[in-house]
Amino acid sequence: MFDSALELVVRKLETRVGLSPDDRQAIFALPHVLRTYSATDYVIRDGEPPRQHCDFILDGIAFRQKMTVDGSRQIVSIHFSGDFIDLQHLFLNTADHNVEALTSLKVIGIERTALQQLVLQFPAVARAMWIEALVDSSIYREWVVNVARRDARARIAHLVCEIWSRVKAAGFLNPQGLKLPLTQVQLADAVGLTTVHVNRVLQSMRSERLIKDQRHVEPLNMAALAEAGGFDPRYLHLEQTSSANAS
Amino acid sequence: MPRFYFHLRDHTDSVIDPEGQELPDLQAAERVALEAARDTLSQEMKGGFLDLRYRIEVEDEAGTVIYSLQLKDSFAVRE
Repeated sequence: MFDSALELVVRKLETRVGLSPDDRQAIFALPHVLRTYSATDYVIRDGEPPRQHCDFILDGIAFRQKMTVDGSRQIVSIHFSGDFIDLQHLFLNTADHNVEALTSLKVIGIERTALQQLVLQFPAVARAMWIEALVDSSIYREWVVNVARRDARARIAHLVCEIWSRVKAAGFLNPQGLKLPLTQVQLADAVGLTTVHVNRVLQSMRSERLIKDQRHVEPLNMAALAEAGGFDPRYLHLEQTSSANAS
Repeated sequence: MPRFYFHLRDHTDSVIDPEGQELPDLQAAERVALEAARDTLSQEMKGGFLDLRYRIEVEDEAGTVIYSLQLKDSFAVRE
């Protein structure tokens, strides 16, 4: 049970970087706990000191959010199975945002000091985590563009394309496609719009057959959605795999 | 907390809110409606065409309309 959870961590890192038997052995020796959260539970709270463990999602979806002083919430990123949600606090001393469980969440919490040592002693692991952190920051750059420069329709189309691409790349897409698990309030908070506005855009997307005619958002025509959102998946760096990364 | 639904309607057309939002009271719902009206119009303004025929209708969980806001009443104009 415990080994299978760390196996997922190894597999995730190996998608980016080739690991040696020593690297793998060191990862399998990491002290850790398994934890579950219910939807809407806070995993990390803004302003907290780092927790003893850094969480990696085994199953479920989480999101990062920040609140303005007047209580407006902006969702700033979404994370799926196979994502670290707490590398920020591997070397930073205060949480600067909240992390909430979107669905019920199963995580492996790896002891922070042991993970720090691992990164400092095993360059291949450090490289894989650097790549993860850089891809994360690339996704943030794209989200800034999304909420600042795209209109409502393109924002929503872009977000749907991103989620679909990431979930598909992680191998979690079932053959029935992807029902976006976000409520309309969460979707609105991720694109910086009100729910009424989001609903209006979704209704027109349904009538144009970009998404399915049902309550939960599910892509129907990915090519048309990508065009509507100006979506180019290059920023996700999905092609940068361990085999393409030999240098 | 009670759940409120925010539908966008004109004389023929309606965008139904299927999920609604939990809010403390009607006053909070009125604030959400006002913000939604202005948000929707601000996007149209960027495109240079304002459709002021719509209203936001707030329904309670029983489906009764308990508040209605014409989009044109969500802002002031000085010429």
